Amino acid sequence: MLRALPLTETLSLTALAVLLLLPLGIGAYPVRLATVIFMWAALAGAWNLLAGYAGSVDLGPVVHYGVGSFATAAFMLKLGLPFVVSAVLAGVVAMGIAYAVGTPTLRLRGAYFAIGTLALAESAKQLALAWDRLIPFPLTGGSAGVSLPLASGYVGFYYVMLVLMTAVTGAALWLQRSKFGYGLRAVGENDRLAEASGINIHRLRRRLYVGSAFVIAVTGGTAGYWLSYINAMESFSAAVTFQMVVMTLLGGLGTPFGPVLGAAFLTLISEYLGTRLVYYYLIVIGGIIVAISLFAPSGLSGLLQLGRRRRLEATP
Amino acid sequence: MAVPVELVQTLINGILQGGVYAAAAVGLSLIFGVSGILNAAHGELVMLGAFSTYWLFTLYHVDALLTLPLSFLLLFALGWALQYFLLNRTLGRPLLLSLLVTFGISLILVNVALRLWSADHRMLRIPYFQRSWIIGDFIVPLSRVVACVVGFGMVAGLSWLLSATRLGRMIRATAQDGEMARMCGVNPRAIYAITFGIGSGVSGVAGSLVAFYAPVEPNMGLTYTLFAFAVVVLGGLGYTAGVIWGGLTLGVAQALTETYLEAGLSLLVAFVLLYAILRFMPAGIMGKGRLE
Amino acid sequence: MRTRWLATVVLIAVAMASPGAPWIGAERADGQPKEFKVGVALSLSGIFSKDAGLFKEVYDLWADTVNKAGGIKVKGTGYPIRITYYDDESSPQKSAQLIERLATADKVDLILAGFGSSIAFAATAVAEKYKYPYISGAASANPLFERNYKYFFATLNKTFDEVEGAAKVFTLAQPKPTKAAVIGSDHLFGKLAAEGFKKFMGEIGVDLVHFEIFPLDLQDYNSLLLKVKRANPDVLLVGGLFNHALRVMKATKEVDFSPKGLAFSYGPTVPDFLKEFGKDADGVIAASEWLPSFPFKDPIFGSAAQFNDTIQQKFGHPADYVQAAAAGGLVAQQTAIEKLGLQPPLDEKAREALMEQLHKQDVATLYGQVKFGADGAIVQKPPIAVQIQNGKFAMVYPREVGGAQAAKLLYPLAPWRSR
Repeated sequence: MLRALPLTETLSLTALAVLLLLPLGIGAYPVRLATVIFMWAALAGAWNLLAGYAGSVDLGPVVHYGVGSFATAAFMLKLGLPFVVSAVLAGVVAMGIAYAVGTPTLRLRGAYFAIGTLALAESAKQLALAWDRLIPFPLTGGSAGVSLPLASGYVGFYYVMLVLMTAVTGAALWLQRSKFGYGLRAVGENDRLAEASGINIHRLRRRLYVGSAFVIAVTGGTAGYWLSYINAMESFSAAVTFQMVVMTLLGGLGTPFGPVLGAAFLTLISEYLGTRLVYYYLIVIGGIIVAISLFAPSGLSGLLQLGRRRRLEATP
Repeated sequence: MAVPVELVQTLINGILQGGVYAAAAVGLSLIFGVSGILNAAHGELVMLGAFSTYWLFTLYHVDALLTLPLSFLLLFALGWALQYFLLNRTLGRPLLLSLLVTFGISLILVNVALRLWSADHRMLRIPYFQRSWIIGDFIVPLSRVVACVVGFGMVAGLSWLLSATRLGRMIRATAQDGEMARMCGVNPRAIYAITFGIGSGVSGVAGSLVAFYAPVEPNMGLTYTLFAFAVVVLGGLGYTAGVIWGGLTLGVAQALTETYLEAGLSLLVAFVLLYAILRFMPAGIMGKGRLE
Repeated sequence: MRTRWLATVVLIAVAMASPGAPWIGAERADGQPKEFKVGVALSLSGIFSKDAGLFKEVYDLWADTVNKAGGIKVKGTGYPIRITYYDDESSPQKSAQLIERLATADKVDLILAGFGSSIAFAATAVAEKYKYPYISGAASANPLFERNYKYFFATLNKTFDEVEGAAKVFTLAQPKPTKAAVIGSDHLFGKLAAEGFKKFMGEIGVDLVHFEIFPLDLQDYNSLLLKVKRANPDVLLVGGLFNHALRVMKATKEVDFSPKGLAFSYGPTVPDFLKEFGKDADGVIAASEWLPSFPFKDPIFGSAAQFNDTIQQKFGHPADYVQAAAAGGLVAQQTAIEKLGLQPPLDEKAREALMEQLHKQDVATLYGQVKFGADGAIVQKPPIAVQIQNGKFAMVYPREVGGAQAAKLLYPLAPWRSR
C-alpha cells in the first residue's frame, strides 16, 4: 500500500497532464466527448461520495443539478455576472438549500432516505415548472425554460468539467485515507457502532451531502451554459439521477475511480454502438448493464482488480 | 343545496383514480416486501400489461375484461423468468444491485416495445365502456368504475392470498427469513420467482386497467414507477394492503388540488405530501408499515 | 490496486488523443462518387419518437425522390444524397452532442432538423457555431426567434401566431360565442399555444371564463374537464400535443361536456386522431398550416395532393402538416444549393453563402411560399384552421388561401348524447 502510493500520485499527475494538454491535439468532437465524460464523472463521483462512502442512497441529486442550472442562469442574465462567478455562486446557493433540506431528510434511513430524496426531486421539478406562475419573481421560465447566450468556444467547458471531475476524485481519494473517511466508513457499515464510538454520523453525512451539492450544482450550471438552454423538465429529470447512479454502480460503488470509469464506459459504448446500431443500441446497452451487474457485481473496477489478483496468484 | 356537489364529485374522481394507483403499486410493494428488490422496471411491466390488453383486444377480439387474466398470465411468466434467471443471482448482494439490474431490464423492455410497436399512442375502443352513468348531479364514467373496482378487488385478493393460503404463508415465511424458510422445506429461490411473477402479473393487470381509459405507448412506464413508489410509501413500506390507503390518498389529494387549486400543482402536492408522510409518519398513513 | 485505474484512465485519454482513432471519426468514403452527405440527429427513442417518426418519413422520401431523379443537380452534374441518422433519445443534450459530431467528425454537408422546440434550442446553438443552416418544420416556440441566430430557420409559424386561425375562426360562428375556456399542457408548445389562444380570444371580444395549465403527467383529466364544464364556456380551446388532445377529447365525453366549439393547437391532424374517435371527432377544429387541397407545388415533391398521396402509399397514413412543413424546408434548401451551384463537399464558406441565400430567396413549395424573415421565421404564412367534417379535414379559416376556398364552419357542435 505504502509503496503503491507514490506510483498512484505519479500516474495521477501524468493522467492530469495528458488531459490538460489534450484539447490541443485532437478535433472538436473528441473534446466534446471528453467533456461529456468529465461531466458525468463529476456528477457520478459526487453521488458516490455520499452513497459509496456514507451508505446513503440519494435518489434526488438532480435537485442540485437543477438548482445549479437555474441559479447560474439567473446570476448571468439578471445580474450580468461572468459565467465562472455565477456558477460558483450557484454552487453556494445549492449548498444553502442542501443544508436546509438535508438536515431533516438525512434523518431518514435506507429505502426511506432513497424515496424521500426522490420525492424531493420530483417536488422540485414541479415547483420549478410552476415557479413563474406562483411567484412574482420570474426565474425558471416555467416549461418554456431559459435561453442563455452562446459561449464563445467549447474548450472552456472542457477545463471546467475536468476541474470538477478532478476535485471529486481527489475528494474521494482523500476520504479513503482521512479520519473523516474512517468515520464515514464506520457509518456505512454500522450506524449504531459508529454512534457508540462518538462519531456524529448526522453531521458527517450532512457535510458530504452539502459538499456534493456544490459540485453537482456547478456542473449543472456549466452544462446549462454549454447547451445554451435549460428547462425544468430536463434539468430536474429523474433520468439525470438514474444516469449518475448507473454510472457509479457500473464503475464501482465506493471506489475513487469507479465513477470515472463508469462514465467513460457508458459514454463511449453508447457512442460506439449508437452510431452503428442506431435503432437497437439502447437494447444492447440494457443487456450490457444487466450482464455487468450479474457477472461483475462490484462494477468494472472489481472486474479489473479480480484480473489483477488472478495474475498475481498465477505468478509464483 | 344540501350536498356539496362539487366536493362529492371531486371525491368520486379521486377514489376512481385511487383504485388504479393502488393496483399499479401493489406489485412493487409485494416484491420489495418479500425480496427486498427495488424494481426500477416496474412501470415497464405496467406498460406491457397495457399492450397485452390492447393487442389481444385489437388483433384477436378478446373481450376487454377477459384480457385481464391473460394479461396476468403473460406478465406472470415474464416476471417469473426475470427473477428465476436474472434477479435470483443478486440475492444476498446490496440493495442497489437490484436497482441496477432492473434499470437495465427497463431499458431493454422500453426499447424492444418501441421497436416492435412504434411510439404511436394507441387507444382501446370498447363501445360498452364508453358510457357514463349520470346519477343526479354526479357523473361516473363506466370504464373508470370498472378499473377502480377491479383494482381494489385485486389488492384485496392478493391480501387474502398472502394471509389465508399455503402459498401465502410460504411467501411470508420467506420474506421474514429466507434461511429459516429453507430449513422448513421451502425453496426460497422458487418463492422469490413466484413472488416476482405475481407482482409482475398484478402490475400487468393494472396496465390493462389503464388501457381501458388512457392511451397506451412504450414510454408510459416511468410515470407509473414514480407513482407506485409514492403510493407504496404513503401506504407503508412492506404492508401490502396499505396500497389501498396510499392510492386513495394520492388520488383524492390530486383531485382536490385540481378542483380547488390548479391542475398544474397536482403533482407538486402529491410529492410534497409524500415527503411529509415519510418524514413525519414513516409507517404510512395507517401506521402499519414496517419500520427499519 | 488503484494504479490500475489510473492506467486505464490514461489509456482512454491516449486512445482519444490519437487523431486516427477510427471509431470516433467518420467512416471515410474515399474513392466513392461525390455525394451530398446529410446528417440528422432525430428522436428515434424517447418521448418525441412518435412525432420525430413523421420527420424521418419525409427525409427518407426526399432522399429517395431526389436520388431517383439523378440527385441534386449542380452545374449540370447530379449528386446523390446520403442521409445518416443518429438517435438523440429525445434529449437536448444528446442532440447538441450529435450535431457537433455531424459537423466536426462526420463533416457532413448539410444538417437536417430534429423534432421539437426544446431539441432545437440546444441543437441550433451548435449549428450556429459551425455554420450549418438548421431549417425546422416543427420548432416554433417564440423565444427561439429572439436569439438572433443567423442559421436557424423555421417553416412553421411562431407558436403564438400558429393558433390564430383556430381562435379567430369563431368570429364566423353563429350565434357568436361569448364565453371561452382555454387549457394547455405545461410544455413549451402547449403553454405558448394556450397563451396564444387567450390573446386572440381577447382580440375577438370573447370572455375568458377559465384558463388553466395542466402538467404533462396529469392522470385524472375528468376533474379538470368538470371544472371547465362548471365554468360553462361556449367554446373550449386546448393547447398541447397529440396525447393531450386524445385525453381531453375522451374526458369531455366521459364527463358529458359538450362545448359548442372545440379547438386544439395540435392533435386532430395526426391521422390516428380520426382513427380513434371516428364520427365523434366531427366538428373538432385544429390549428394547421397546410392541407393537401392547397394549390401549391414544387418540382421535387409535385403538388400538395401528390405529396399527400405518396405519403399515404408509402407509410399508410395521410400527410400531417408538420411533414409538409419539413418538406417545404427541404425544397428551400435544395433550391438554394442549386441556385448557388454549390458542389459537395460544402465548406464553411459555402454554407455561409447557403445561409445568405436562404434569407434572400422566396421559393414556391408544396407547402406554399417559403420566405424567411431576418429572425429565421417564415413570413406571410396565414395560419389556418381546419375542421373535421364527415371524417375529412376541411379548411374553415381564413376564407381562402392561394385560391382554395374555405368550407362552411360547422357550429354549434351536437351534444355528446346525440352524437
